[in-house]
Amino acid sequence: MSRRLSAISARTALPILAILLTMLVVTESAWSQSRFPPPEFESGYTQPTTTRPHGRAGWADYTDLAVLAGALVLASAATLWLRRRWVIVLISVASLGYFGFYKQGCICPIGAIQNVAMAVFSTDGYVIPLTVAGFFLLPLIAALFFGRSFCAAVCPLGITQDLLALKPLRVPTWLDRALSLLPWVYLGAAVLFAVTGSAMIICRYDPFVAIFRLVPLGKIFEGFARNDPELNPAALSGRLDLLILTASFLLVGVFIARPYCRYFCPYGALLGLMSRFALKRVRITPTECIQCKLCENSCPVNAIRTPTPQAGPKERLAGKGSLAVMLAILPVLIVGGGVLGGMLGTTMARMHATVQLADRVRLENSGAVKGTTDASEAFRATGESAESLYAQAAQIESRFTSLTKPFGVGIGGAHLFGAFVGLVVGLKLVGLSIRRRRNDYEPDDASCISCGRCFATCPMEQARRNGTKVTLNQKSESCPT
Amino acid sequence: MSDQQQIDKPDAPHATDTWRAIGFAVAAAAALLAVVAITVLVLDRPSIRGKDFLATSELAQMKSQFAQNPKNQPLAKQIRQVDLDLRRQYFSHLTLARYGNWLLLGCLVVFVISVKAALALRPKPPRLGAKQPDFLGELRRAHGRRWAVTAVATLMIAGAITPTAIEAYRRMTTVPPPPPHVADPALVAKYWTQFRGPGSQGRGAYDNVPLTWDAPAGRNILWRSPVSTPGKSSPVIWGKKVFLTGGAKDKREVLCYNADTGGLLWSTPIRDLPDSPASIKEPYEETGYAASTPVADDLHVFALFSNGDLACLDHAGKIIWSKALGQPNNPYSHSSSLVMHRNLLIVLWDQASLEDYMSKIFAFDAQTGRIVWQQRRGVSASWATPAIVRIGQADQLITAANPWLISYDPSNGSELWRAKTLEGGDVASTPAFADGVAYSICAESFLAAVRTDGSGDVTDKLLWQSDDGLTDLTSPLTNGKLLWTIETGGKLTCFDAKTGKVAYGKELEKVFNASPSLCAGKLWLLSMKGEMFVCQTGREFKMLHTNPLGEGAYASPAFQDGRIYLRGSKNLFCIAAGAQSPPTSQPAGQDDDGHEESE
Repeated sequence: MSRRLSAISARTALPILAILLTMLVVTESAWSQSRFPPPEFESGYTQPTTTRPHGRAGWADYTDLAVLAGALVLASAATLWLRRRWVIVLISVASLGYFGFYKQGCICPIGAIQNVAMAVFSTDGYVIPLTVAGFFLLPLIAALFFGRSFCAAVCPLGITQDLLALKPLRVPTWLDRALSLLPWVYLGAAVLFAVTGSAMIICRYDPFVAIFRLVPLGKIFEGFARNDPELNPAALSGRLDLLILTASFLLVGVFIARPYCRYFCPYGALLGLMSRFALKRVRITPTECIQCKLCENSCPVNAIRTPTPQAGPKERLAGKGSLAVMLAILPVLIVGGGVLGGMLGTTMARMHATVQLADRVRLENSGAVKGTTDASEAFRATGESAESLYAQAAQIESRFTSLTKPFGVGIGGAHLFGAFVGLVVGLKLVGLSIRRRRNDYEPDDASCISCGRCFATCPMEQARRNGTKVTLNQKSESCPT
Repeated sequence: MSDQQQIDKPDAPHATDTWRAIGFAVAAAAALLAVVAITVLVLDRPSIRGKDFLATSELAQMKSQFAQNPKNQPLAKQIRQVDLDLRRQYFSHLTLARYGNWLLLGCLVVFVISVKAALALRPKPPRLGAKQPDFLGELRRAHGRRWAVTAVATLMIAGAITPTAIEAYRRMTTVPPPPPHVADPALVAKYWTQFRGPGSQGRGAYDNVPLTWDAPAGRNILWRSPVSTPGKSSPVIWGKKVFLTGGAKDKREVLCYNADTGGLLWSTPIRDLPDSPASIKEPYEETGYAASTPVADDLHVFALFSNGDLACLDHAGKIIWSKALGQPNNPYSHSSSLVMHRNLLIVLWDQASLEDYMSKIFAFDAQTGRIVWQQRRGVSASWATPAIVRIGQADQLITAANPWLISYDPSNGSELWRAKTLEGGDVASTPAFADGVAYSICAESFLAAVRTDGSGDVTDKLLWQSDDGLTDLTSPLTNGKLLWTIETGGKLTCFDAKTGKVAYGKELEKVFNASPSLCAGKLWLLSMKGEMFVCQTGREFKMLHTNPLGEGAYASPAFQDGRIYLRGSKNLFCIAAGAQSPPTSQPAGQDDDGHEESE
């Protein structure tokens, strides 16, 4: 009876969770705080001056940096030396509590990409704070030495998804490889929009920040008074479409492990790149691989690479032919991407609020649309002329379409973004044409997130934990044949 | 039995099954509680989002009653209580939402922990990997993955191109909107459509206007019609219609008369505009409620009153759109008149002091009332009407207020040039313009001639300036060769427009509110007693005719083909040569009570 109940409960629990998550996110907007006029006092009562609490002390930001460094060290130790999943989970929960609910998801290394891009490329004189630079660099440096330990147990976005991956399904490899383009495209777009001052899209479309700001834990721990207005966070008065985005990622995350990490996270793309050169990486087996095939399907993110078969001369030639073709079309893709990107420059420029406003004012002035928007009315109230607005918009558009004119051809951010996407697609095709010889089951250097789930399936790991010794000729108890 | 089947072989009943069941039961309970909480929050959500919780009909009604009876203290107390109750209610909804979200988060945490714990009690055995394909199979799989990458890349490109393609298609297929309606400039020049006629310069285009009349005797008076509501605004004309505005404490209206017969065609009250002040501040006595002259085009007439009510009416008297600009902060009440530039209605809204920085100039779309552009002005309250003048191929909108004479591009409000020629006093005189030169005047400053082809601050580049003939109320008049000013006390001064030298000065010993006019080669001066002095235009003064109106006059005349329209203190007159209307019973210069009208 209890087993049947368990079976029924397992099947029904997940859909209920899915519904819960959706409705939870939708009601988050209940936190929205409206502004209202104060009462009209005629009795001579003077309304007290509104005060705000002091900002966070500067040393507190460096404390966060120190916590990040400590968490990275602990996560690396847990994945590479301790090799215990429960330790990784423990560190994850602590990281989620600190970087997620306490820090409310900000600042994070993912969003810091934009700040770094602005600091490097922008001409507006933006100076990146040291702590933001630290948040950006520390996980990358850790990945260079220890692999993606940041993803394993420090990133609150990844941990949220990891905890909710209750029934992860296997994504077909062809689809997985194809979708792995998206983080790079997102990275390029984020850099482009940040450098042109258009939008911080990584932050704007962060699907999990709404969860982190559900409760004002940070304010409570920092000693705010109970009746303090800061405890009624207005942060969740967000748009319904973004709340639906959150719900969607949470729902999908139940069945597809870490969807944001694998198919959208731009920082994950950089970490994966760094991780390829890591000094020390996660291995499934602590010693040698006995080819038992038990770990192959244990990875929720499809990061385990199987041994590759031997190839004869004819097969090697066929493989080389494919590679040659991909290398030949790589420059075509780069140039083609640049041209296509340039064609989309004007559309991409519309991400900038000033360009949107100029379009709207132009439509209103020409009579093509009736009525006004809050933004256009606010603009007209400034007294600034429409022509100067159009000039500003044109100048912003030129950042996308014609920053520089080598040989008389305008090249802007959009061209560079398109060329970058072409490069990414080309390199992906080249990567799929390169055959790497593998004799053992290994995690992929770039896509392994060091979650440690594969450890438990490996009989060699079991033997290490039990203190027994297994040789190739000896069959372990967990090996059925 | 296969390897995987061997691994998956079900075990015998396990002791952990009970704990698994408990785990799933706890999860189910957490889920149920969460669903209940979510339902309550969703139903409660409209109380928090999307509406002004204070905007209840009960409160609005009570406030409206209180506005009519501000001394009703019990009602005031009741309003405060209702307001407080509404705020308490709102915050109670917020508190419910806050605790509800804590509960939901807690339920989610319990749910996840329970499910994970239950699943961990019976971990699934690992699934064996499939047989690996040979090299050719691997090549085929790699080939398939490359096509998958290509497909995703193609989808991305399609997704990126789609908005651009849709936008391009929309632009191709969208019928461009018709150009904004603009009255025929030839007709605008033909009719007298605004204060002091075309360009607000007081220059009539007709040579056949009657030079003499006697209103009390009815000689050359085609008709006279009583104007029921008083006002200082001047008549404007389009076609066969004469438009006036009048205002009193309880009524502001636009009136329309038949230009041929003087019959009142319609009168439309302007009241109860949204956001109009509930109570109207009494205006300065000498200014009144309707001092701003309206402006008309072929479709509409626009009117502005002392309380900031602005209205657009069609020629049948129907209100097309209206706006309440609010009670202006103006010590002598607002009197700047409206002007038009193509499809834009220009409203000069100068108020308060220079330091208050409240002055503005607006350009409204004539058809819709939408603000097309507006500019803040660093000037104090003024009463002058802007002048829109043509200079070469471009137009300039010239405004006068303490301390700046400022010129704008009337199409977009961008500033062209400015000159500090009006510092120190109140400015009521509309700038004069001729032959590329603008003339500004202020009683506490000086008369200045400014070239209009400069840019930026041109204060140092004045053509000339003079301390003679300074007026506080009337506007200067010029034909490009000579310039005239008439002071309120009756001194007429004539200048050489090029050099600023005084040609002559003449004390007329009359009081003048109306600005001088030029028409049919004559100088027209209308005194407050309603006497129109027709003088020669030359470097010597010569009075040609004196024409009595029979009642006081403040407004400027309107010159049309063979006619002059004049607004007196009580009647609207149409003067035409050869006409004869019944004489009035009172001599000229007397009011209805038979008293001498004071100057």
